[in-house]
Amino acid sequence: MLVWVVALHCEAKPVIDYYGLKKSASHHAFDVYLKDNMHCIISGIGKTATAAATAWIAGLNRHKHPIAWINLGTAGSSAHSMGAAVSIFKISDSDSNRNFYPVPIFDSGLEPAHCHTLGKPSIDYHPHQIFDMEASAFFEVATRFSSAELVQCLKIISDTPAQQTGHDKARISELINRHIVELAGFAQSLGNLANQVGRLEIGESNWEKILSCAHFTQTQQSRLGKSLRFLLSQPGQTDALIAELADLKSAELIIAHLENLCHRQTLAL
Amino acid sequence: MVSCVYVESEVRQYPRTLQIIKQLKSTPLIEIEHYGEVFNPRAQNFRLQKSNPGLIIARKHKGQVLKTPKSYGIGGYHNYYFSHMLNCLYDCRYCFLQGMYRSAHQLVFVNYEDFAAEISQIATRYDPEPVWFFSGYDCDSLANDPLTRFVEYFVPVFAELGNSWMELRTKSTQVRQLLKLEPCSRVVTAFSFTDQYSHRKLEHGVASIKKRLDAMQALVEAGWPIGLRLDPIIYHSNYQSEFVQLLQQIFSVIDATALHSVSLGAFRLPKDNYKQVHRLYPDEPLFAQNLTLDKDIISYPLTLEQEMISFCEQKLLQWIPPEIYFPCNWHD
Repeated sequence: MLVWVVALHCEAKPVIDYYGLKKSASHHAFDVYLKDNMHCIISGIGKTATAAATAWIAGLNRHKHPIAWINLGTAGSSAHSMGAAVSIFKISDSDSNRNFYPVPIFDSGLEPAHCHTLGKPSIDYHPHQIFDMEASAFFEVATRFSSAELVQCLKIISDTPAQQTGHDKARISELINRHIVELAGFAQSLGNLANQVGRLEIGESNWEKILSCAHFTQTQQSRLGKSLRFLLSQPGQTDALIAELADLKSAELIIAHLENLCHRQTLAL
Repeated sequence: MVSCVYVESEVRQYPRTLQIIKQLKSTPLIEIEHYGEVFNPRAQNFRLQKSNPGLIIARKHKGQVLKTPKSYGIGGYHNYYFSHMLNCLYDCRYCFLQGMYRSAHQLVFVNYEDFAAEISQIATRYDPEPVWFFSGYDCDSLANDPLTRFVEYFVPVFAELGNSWMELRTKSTQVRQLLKLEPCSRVVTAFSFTDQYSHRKLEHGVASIKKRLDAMQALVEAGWPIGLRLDPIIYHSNYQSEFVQLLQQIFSVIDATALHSVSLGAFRLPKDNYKQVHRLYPDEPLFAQNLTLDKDIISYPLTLEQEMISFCEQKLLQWIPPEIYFPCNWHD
């Protein structure tokens, strides 16, 4: 599952158009555009709005684990040219003075940058930092739901000391659209990482099927999960395994059977 | 080599920091206040990070040298360990480091002088009794040596401390710096080995057995004492024949009389480390084996472990004298 958290419609438009996302008619707290395993949520400007949107969409997708996150938006900078795309390696919050560090787990080809998240707009440019109004809140909230490697911020420079895009929506969309192929490549890489993590989980429907075979205590569920995560990670196991378990009528028999299978398979490492 | 370099502001201008940064010149550099900001946050996935870790350069403010756990030692009475670096270049699936820290970033403490001062204090306290200092507890002692220049700094420190011994525990072949220095009889480079099958399956990024033996032999020829650490012994259906082959391979290159010490131990992990590692690697056959809990340690069932150690010990003692053999007695 990949979620884009974007403050404004004009910033989200290139992503919506590129992926052909459709606006959800059933979600009303925030505008959400979606398709398959991708959501794009329009949060509104500022930390509070971003935090609320991030937490809300995380709750909506609580069964779709893991979630990969991208905060996409525009930023101001005196150290970059207009329209430059950067990947954020460090986020500083101006109100709390806290720092956050998205993990650069793959080489995106984008220039790294330090993003300072402000509580209100400013034209005081810092020589070594870019400015936005959402990244710190996004990162702090999203990492409650996913590990930091899956939570990334990408910014497109829309304001410099010499030139400001301001509220020119078409211009903002155009600046972001110039980088849509790179952004999509980044999203693909991030999605692949999330899939690596997801492959280690027991799918919800499989878990429900197995739990319905017998009554399991919490401790038994823990033992069950341990064996299943291993066995289901081995190729070609799932359907045959679940069918076998349906014939065993008690939790202890099921667990013993699974643990035996594990021990037999692991003789050869 | 590393995805990025995080540097604490406090050590940004240290000569050792500048030298490391110079070697990693095209790597993004991020300034931080304290290594804990990057190393400690909960929401990190060690397994994902391990594929492309960063490097953190920091200062260790306290606890530079600590006493070893009770069963950790090779005959000495006073045993300490010090970690100039946390996390390892290699990715061995049986390693307790996987479950030790939330981050897989390599963290190097550049205030070597503070470590040396504490080592010297401890050595003086016990003088003239010998004191052992183990350097490979939280990392591989030599794997990052070209970057950290650990050997260049610390070997001369130990050369000056007449009652102090240092063990450099490694799976690396980075012995170049040692070969440039005058050998010190109280610095033992101990090479860890598992059998060929376990090495292939579990030791990702580690040099071949042959290359490590070549490095060992180079040290022997230069006059350095070496050790052998056959730890962990991993259970699999052919562990016996593989262990015998390993010994044959080792002793076809290394003369047993050149060995300072040999230790042997079966696979084991502290309970909390095991839980964490198993959560990260649920697909790993090693962790799905029949393992039991005893005194907060996850290991093979006692009878199996005893059988493995008994077999391996018997084969090993056909090659080495018992005086240099130190079994890992973690059950004591």
